[in-house]
Amino acid sequence: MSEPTTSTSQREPDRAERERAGSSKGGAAPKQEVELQEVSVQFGGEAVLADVDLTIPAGRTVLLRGPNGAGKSTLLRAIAGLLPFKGEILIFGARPRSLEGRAAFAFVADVPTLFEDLTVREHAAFLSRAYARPEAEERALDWFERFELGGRLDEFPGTHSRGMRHKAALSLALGLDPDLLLLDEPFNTLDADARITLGEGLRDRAGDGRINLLSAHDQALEADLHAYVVEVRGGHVGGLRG
Amino acid sequence: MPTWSRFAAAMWAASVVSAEAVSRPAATASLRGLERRMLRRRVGRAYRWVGRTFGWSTIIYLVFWIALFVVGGVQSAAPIGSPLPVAALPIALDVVALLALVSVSLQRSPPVVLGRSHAMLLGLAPWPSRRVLRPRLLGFFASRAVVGAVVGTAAWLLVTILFAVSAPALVALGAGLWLLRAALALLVYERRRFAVPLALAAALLAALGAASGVLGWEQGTAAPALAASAFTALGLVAAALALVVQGDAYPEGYLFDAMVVAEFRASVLMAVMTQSAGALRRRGVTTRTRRRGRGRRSGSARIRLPAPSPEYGPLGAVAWRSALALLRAPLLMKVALLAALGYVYATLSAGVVGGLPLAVLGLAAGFLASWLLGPSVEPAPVPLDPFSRGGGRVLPGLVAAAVVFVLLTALRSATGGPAGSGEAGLLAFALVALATVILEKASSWLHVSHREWTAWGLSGLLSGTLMWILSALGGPGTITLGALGLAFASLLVLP
Repeated sequence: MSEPTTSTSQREPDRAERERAGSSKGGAAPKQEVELQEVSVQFGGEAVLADVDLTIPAGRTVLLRGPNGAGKSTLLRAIAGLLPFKGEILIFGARPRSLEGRAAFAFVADVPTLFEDLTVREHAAFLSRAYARPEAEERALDWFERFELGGRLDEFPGTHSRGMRHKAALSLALGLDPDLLLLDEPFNTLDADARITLGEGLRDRAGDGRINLLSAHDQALEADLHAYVVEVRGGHVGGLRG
Repeated sequence: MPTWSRFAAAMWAASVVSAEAVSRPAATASLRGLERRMLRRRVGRAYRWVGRTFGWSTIIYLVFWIALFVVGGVQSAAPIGSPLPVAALPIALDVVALLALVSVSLQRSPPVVLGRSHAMLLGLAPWPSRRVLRPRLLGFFASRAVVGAVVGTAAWLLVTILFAVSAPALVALGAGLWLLRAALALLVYERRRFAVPLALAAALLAALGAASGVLGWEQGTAAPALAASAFTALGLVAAALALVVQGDAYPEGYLFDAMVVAEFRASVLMAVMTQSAGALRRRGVTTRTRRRGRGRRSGSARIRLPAPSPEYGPLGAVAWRSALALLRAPLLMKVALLAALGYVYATLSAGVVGGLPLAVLGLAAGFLASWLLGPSVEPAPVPLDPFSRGGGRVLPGLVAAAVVFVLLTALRSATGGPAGSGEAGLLAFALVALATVILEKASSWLHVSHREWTAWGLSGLLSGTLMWILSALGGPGTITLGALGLAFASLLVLP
């Protein structure tokens, strides 16, 4: 089962999705894909990623795979607009740092970033309002329950273990239900039940036409998530295969 | 096997291991080589880091000016009009020496530590402890002597000003006192039972010696107490060294203690280094620790505020979070905030509406703004437009400031204050509002925490300067309107 890297979405985007992608102003239907063109990232003059070309159509779960230090996290951070890069990254036609771009994705880093001055429950309230998605609060609370964090919602994340912080960050991202979900090694700190829960969530999202882009080392995930694989090696990125 | 024979066997085994370790010249040489290499690398790394972070020319420039100021300060140090009685000097010195030495009795952690890698690789290897600890002990005593000499110099200056007595001997005494303190710290860590009375005895001797030495110096007599004090210090240093360095084994629990202390010091050093290097741009160690610390404060999670209706959008969300942060701030900070707002109001109602004092007041307002401004959303890629972000961060703090100024104005009017109290309140609010908005923009653009002095200093100077310029154009009314207009326009227009 191979997929051309330039393939387009197999389903017609609905109006809500078009609005989320922020391109209703332009009139033309937005591209339902994430597109990277000649993307390069340098640290201190040294190329960490070189001329990456990649197109990810809607409804895919894509695993970034490669050895430590290959550039997987750097690629994810560049797509999230957290790193300066050369080239072009378009998230459903919008640049990552634009408001439209940022509204279209959620990113969970390998060391999850949470607001240390808000309790877990307050995170859900804050983010749902900041993203102007009122329904996201209920969804996040539901994900907290699924990740067995229900009893710890009124605590600050600073009092939680790394695994719990990861679950909280994943719940918030899944609660937002963005068109693109960027996850940096999300399975590493999770317990067995949480891994299954997350796997189910990612499969459902892909089934609904969303894109999941994650880095992982576990070979079994490819089959579990029905995922496509992109090999990252020495700053070079291969095409989609699955 | 009976207990005594097991003990004897263990002692024999220990002596064999120890003797082998000591008698291995190649191993000792390799340890020495390792120390030299590590020292060289550490010095090289520090040299490069300082050069990259601050620049050596900057350091030399700063050192030159600091030295010039210090020398100038020392030379210009003149006794106060009516100096304190010299009789009070021995008492003051006694108290200082006693405090310095007795504080050591609280020592619960090893004063000289091995880093994590050294504790794991060298501490657990069959090396005699004295070989591993020697370079660190030397560094420890040398640094304490330098610190003591600096303290002694400061004391010399202070004594000259307050008592009209010049006592350069205080430099040597300071170094001796700090060496003594270091030695006692080692003794206390090692042998707690007799170290405390020993510390007290040494403190008394040292204090007595210091006081008599200073007086004797002034009276032109060679004070025998000075010599006694110096000998006591040297004796105790030698005793501490003998106790710590003599054995082949580390004190009980030393390696574990050392690793914990080393980790703690490393984290503090990392925080200092990242802060100095301006690396707090995105996820600063200190900021994160501070926030986490605030979050962990017992009871602060119980302070809640209902979330706003979703129709208020991102602006409402950010404002809600800022209000929560303000409510959850420590009580002491809230009191300090009230006091600072009161100070700004009082200064402006005293008639300071122009000139340099207003610029200085702007700096104070910048500091005030650093506490009034809500937390940043960076580095999370939340889709917030600049107005929602800025307005939400600024609004709760400014509402609180406005309430305080209204209350102060009412209080002043009620207590029969002069006319124009309301004008001063408005002016104070305008200044704080301008400083807070500029701080929000500055911290967002520079990607630094608003609690960083670079950010609030810049906003304070800018707002002070703007108020100064406005004061040249008109009276308090013009300044207030102009400042509020600038603040609002900045919120609306600037990214």
